Amino acid sequence: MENLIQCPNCHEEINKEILFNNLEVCPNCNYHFRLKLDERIKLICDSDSFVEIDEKLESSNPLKLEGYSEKLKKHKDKSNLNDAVVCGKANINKQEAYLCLMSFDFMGGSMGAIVGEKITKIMIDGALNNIPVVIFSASGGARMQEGIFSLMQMAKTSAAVALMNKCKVPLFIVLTHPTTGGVTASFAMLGDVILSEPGALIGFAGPRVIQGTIGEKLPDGFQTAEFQKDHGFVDAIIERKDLKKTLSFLLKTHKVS
Amino acid sequence: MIKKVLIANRGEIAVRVVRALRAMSIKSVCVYSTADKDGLWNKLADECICIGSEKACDSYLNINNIISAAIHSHCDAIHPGVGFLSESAEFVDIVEKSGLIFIGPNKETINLLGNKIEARILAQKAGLDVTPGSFKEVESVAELKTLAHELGYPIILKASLGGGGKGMRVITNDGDLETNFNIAREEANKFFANPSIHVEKFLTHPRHIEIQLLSDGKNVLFLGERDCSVQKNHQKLIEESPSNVVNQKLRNKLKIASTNLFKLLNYQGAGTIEFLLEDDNCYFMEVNARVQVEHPVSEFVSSIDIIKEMVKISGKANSKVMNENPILRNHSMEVRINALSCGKITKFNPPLGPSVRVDTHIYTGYNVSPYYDSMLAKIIVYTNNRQESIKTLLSCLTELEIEGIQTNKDIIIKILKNKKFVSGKFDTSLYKEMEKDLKWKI
Amino acid sequence: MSKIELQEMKEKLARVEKFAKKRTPWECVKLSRNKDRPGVEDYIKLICDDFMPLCGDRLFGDDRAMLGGIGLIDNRPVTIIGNRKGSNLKENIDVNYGMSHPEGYRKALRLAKQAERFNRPIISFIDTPGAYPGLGSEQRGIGEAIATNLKEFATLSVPIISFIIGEGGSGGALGIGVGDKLYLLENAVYSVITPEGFASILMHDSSKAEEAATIMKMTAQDLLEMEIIHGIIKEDKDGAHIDPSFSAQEIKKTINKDLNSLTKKNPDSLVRYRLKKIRSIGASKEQHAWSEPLLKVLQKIY
Repeated sequence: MENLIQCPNCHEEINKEILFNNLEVCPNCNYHFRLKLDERIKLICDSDSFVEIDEKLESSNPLKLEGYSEKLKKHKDKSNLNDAVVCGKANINKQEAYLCLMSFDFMGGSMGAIVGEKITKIMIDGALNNIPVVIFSASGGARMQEGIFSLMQMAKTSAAVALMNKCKVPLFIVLTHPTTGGVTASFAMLGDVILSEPGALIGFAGPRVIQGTIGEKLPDGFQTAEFQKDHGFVDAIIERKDLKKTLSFLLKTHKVS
Repeated sequence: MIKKVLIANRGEIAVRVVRALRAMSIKSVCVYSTADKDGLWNKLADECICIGSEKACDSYLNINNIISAAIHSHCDAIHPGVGFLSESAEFVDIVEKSGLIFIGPNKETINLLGNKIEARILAQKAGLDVTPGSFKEVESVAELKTLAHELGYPIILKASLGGGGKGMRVITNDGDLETNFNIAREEANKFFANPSIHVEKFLTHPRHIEIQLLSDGKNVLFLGERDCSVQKNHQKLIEESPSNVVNQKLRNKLKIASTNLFKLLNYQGAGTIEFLLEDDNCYFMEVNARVQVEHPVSEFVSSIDIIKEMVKISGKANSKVMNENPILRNHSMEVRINALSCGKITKFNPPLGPSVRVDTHIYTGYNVSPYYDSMLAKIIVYTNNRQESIKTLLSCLTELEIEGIQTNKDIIIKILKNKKFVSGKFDTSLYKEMEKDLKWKI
Repeated sequence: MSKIELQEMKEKLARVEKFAKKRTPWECVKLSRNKDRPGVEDYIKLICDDFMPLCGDRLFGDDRAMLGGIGLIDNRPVTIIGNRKGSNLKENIDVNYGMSHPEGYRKALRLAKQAERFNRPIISFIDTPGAYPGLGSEQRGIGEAIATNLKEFATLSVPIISFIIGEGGSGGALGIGVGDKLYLLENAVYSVITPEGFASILMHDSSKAEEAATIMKMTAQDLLEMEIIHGIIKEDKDGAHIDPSFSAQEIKKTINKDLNSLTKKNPDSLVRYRLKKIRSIGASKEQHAWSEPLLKVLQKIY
């Protein structure tokens, strides 16, 4: 049926309009579908307050890898984005914040030099201008096509967090499904407050690799947001409908001196 | 002679068909999934049978279960309603092979009309204007580029066996040709099991006009046009008849050519031909070989009960109605009230009145599930003219009470009050324009 | 230096120079994984006058894949951290093949902070296939452990010099690889994924690892050209395992030279320079303009 979509969690077929109005959360099992970036912006930001920054930055294929430029173009055409993160400034309940929103639809949200650069720039601007930064993470990890340059983005973004810390400007991370690999092992785990959407897959190594290592089936709930919270790595799990007010509360209680 | 009919559908249309059958003293059998046990159509029908779980493929799309239910309840015929199996040639084939009558056209007609390229060729033959474009599959980027330059941008790629807004891609320049060609073929294969695509000129500000016909193999009746330009993501929200942009000359032209097409097809039953009207050009888009959700609008202006006639045509019963074309009078407009959330309806009070018709399956205490179409009710009015219809609908919407779930009632009211809509100078881009102002409720 | 020692040194250099340095990237990968390749403990023995290992992260346990402690190099106290690999099966099981759990990175951080407190430079020796991808790693927050190290090491106010002596396995290597200077031994490699992984995922053919190794530009020469590292440490032409002391001496010379200049910087200036370097890795000329805001922030803090 055309106006139905199957929930990957409970496998029920759900009316798309009802799903949309439920903020893309399955009304049957609460599975949080991936949100498109413009929907996320509408959800979190005061209306018309989001102004994009650095939208034109795009990858230069640093390893000169064959086929990479073509793949980038295909993703750019399909998603209308220049890379896997959109950055900007917005108001959240009238409070100013920088926003970075990663898109899993663009090459699996993989972090290459441009994603790393855009996020680093925003964090430095936040540190400089005393404006808090909110990052929505979604990533399969480092972008292999950019080799060592992708790895270095982990160091670059983490160093920028150090600067934010020193300037006492808050960094809030919202982990969305999925957040893995080099993104988990850098800025995503360095927020002053780390939130997550329910059921999100959050981890470092991929589940298949771990399964291969231990040679047995993974325990239920492994590497979910709930797992991370139980093990002490996530501050709070927030339903999508409560995200805006939670972020608003955090912004209010983290006034930059 | 059809004495007992199984309705292979649910919701509002199932209720509609049950009512028509009762008025014809024909027995009705309804079906339901486990999520629809309390559906109103089950209460109204003579018998009701559970045919599977809430998943559509287990129930309303489960041909085996539906046919079994029809046979075991000794039905003569199956009415497919709208959506689900109503345009499945495979279903028609199995219904007929099981010795049952399918209330609708035969499988050859459905197959032909399901292939958009074949349909275009036939429409042209019948004298209809078709959107400039290809009459065969586009097989390479080079071919596409040539066509694109002939037609001029923007162009749209469509899945030849597709529909419902899926598998369509708009291209505005040479640079996007290759990527979109590949994606369109991928999507066509994914959704319709066939990568065949064709290209048409993309119309940027069309009105969606459709013609309602009834045909019994001897006569083809013209029940007027409907204007369905208010759409959200290709889902119709408001329909009306007649359309303020179709003058008598155009209407006549469409009447002749449409009738011709149905004669060429030897079409049996109710059918709708969809067009896109832009800058005085009315282009054939496709034929829907079934009854449509918005049929009440045409029923009002033509005074014909389309469902009853469908049953009579398939049952080869005599019908005086089919002997002459109806006179089309006055104006009718319909709005669709959709659910935006699911849950229990704690209060339902429909609007009433002399010029008001409400087609619905909901009632106070009914549980709206998220598994199916989200339409709750159609409110249709029949008045002297368009402005009166709009006013009457607005009045109906203030009377309408649905509590316990969220609905699109406020959005419909906004559209009915929108200046462009009221003036009649709007097109299919109206909803998208208005959408920018519609906030996402948290 | 005696005449004999001088002669030996000349011969060694001649061997190295004759070595046309045209080992293929795949040969480097294989050599970097060679079980006889000298590890951190070998280099400590050859470089330090004395060394005391320190254990534990004070939170959970002691990771045997991560070595840490205090050494004396030409009488200068330094903190040394490094990945431990075994040269036989028994040893490797003991040190988990050089793959650390979160407690390894947390131990490294603890010792690094201790070094800062007592003004000791930090030397790291990296040789790991990567962080250990097991249940315990995820349960104890391997992502957070590496991330915190990346953040903290960036602003430590003591000089940090890192040597990749074998395999530089992605985030697991970077977790102790952020610092002022980064060197690769001649046949060492550094990459975001193994060539086998690259071949399997991007080339859809795991047998193409050799080709992948070339494409990925993971050798010391590649990294030097891309300005990711500051220099290459020479090895014997047949590999460091043939003559560990040669490479050890090169490492020691490098450490002394670098520390002589780095310790002259005042701590704030040291950190500023490090942050600028991290900020501009792989940046093009236009991108250098982006470091303007960074300079302003650095002025704010330091």
